[in-house]
Amino acid sequence: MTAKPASAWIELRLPGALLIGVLAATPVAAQSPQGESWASIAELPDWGGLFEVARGGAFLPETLVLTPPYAARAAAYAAAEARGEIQDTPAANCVPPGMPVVMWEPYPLEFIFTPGKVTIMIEAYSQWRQIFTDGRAHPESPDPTFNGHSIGHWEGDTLIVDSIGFSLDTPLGRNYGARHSEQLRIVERMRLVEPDLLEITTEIYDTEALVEPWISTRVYARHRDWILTEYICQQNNRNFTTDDGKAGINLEHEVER
Amino acid sequence: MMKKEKVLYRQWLAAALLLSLAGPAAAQLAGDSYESIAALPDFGGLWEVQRGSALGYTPPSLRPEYAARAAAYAAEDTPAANCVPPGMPVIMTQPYPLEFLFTPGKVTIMLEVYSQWRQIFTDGRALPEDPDLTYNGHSIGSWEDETLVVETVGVSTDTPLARDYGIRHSEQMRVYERYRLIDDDTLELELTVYDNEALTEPWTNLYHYTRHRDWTLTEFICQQNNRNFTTDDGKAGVSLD
Repeated sequence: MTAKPASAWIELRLPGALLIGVLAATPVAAQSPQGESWASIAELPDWGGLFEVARGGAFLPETLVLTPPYAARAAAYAAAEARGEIQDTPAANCVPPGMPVVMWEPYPLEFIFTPGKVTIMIEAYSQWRQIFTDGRAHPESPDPTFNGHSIGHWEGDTLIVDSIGFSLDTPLGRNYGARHSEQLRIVERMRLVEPDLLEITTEIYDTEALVEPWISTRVYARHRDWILTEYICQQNNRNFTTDDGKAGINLEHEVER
Repeated sequence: MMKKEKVLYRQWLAAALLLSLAGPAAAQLAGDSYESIAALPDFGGLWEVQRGSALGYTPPSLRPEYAARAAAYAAEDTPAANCVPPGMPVIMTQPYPLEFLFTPGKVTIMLEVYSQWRQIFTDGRALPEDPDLTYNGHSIGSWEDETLVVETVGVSTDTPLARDYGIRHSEQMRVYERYRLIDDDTLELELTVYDNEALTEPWTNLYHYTRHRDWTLTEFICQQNNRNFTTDDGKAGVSLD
């Protein structure tokens, strides 16, 4: 009985080899629904509901290894912090962190599938990312933005997202001392690993800033009954700004007590 | 016996047919599945409000207390100088593109200005009785044939009623919007504001939006270049050095 699959496999070797050749020649993308129409979207995995980074994913130790000039810059930043010269980050003035950190913040995300595009709604700072799945290429010279320019395609149940074109105003990780270059490229692989658990592996490539690619994986728990809440950071941003552009803190009421 | 049963069966059949036409709403909401969304009007592409159109603009008719407040308003800048968005309904008519994203049970309006969004629940849920006040409010919607009808409550009173920040609304404000395609690439919005406390009568205006199929939304981070200092009384300062 065991011989049968083996012999069947042997029989299939030649056509199998041909098939592999065909698969290699054909983009795998063509094998999976790509969400180009409502009918195609209906065949995609169900990513409905909200997802929030889980199991400590928002606070994973960051294992990036910076190249010497970028390491020196990070060290200088840390030293300035230690001397009390840097007491806040641009977030104190409601400036979001951009990619990749915006995907790791402890706020919900929502995935919206429409023909040719996946939109990721990000509750933190009321932002979004647009991932074009219509087969377009990246622009040759993208305007740098906080969240970059993203294209994606489905390989089976996995959405693979490729992003470039990031503003140098954003940090590379949670530590604002660690920066990236204009070469930064981020590849994300997103798939459901359990009915209510989405896994995202983030591969960060930047040969100028990083000694080696920085790869990390987080899981996001689904909350079907949650809805996104409005987030307008500036609404209650009543701190004054110091002369050197930092967010000030008024301690008068503390003194009165 | 046979004949009576047959008549009863026909009556039952007619009743069933009527019921299926009138429909239990929950089972037949337009846009509750991707299949159903495919049958909705095509709102794809980006939309930008037409400026200087011949539609005219009717100012709101304010009650005395609100009119006095508008008359007394004399600010050198608005909260927008500190990157605070204007909220509903002003956000819908700013000169930036909009995009409508249909997903089962929800229409999301992406607003390029300030990188915002609005969520319009079309899954049959009711408005919350005591909503948390937000800039864009809490919205539910439904389709009346080819028209998307949206009702919004719970808009923060930090926001103005019109582009003139002196014109304000109360917490009672309800905004009704009716969206429909009037030709291949023109979307019409009839926007009516009800607010018994601020307005002497409902305030209605028509707006037209032009479709741009080949545009994509651009990131808008107001704070990125907001390098003005803030004055002691919270206004955006201008340095003329």
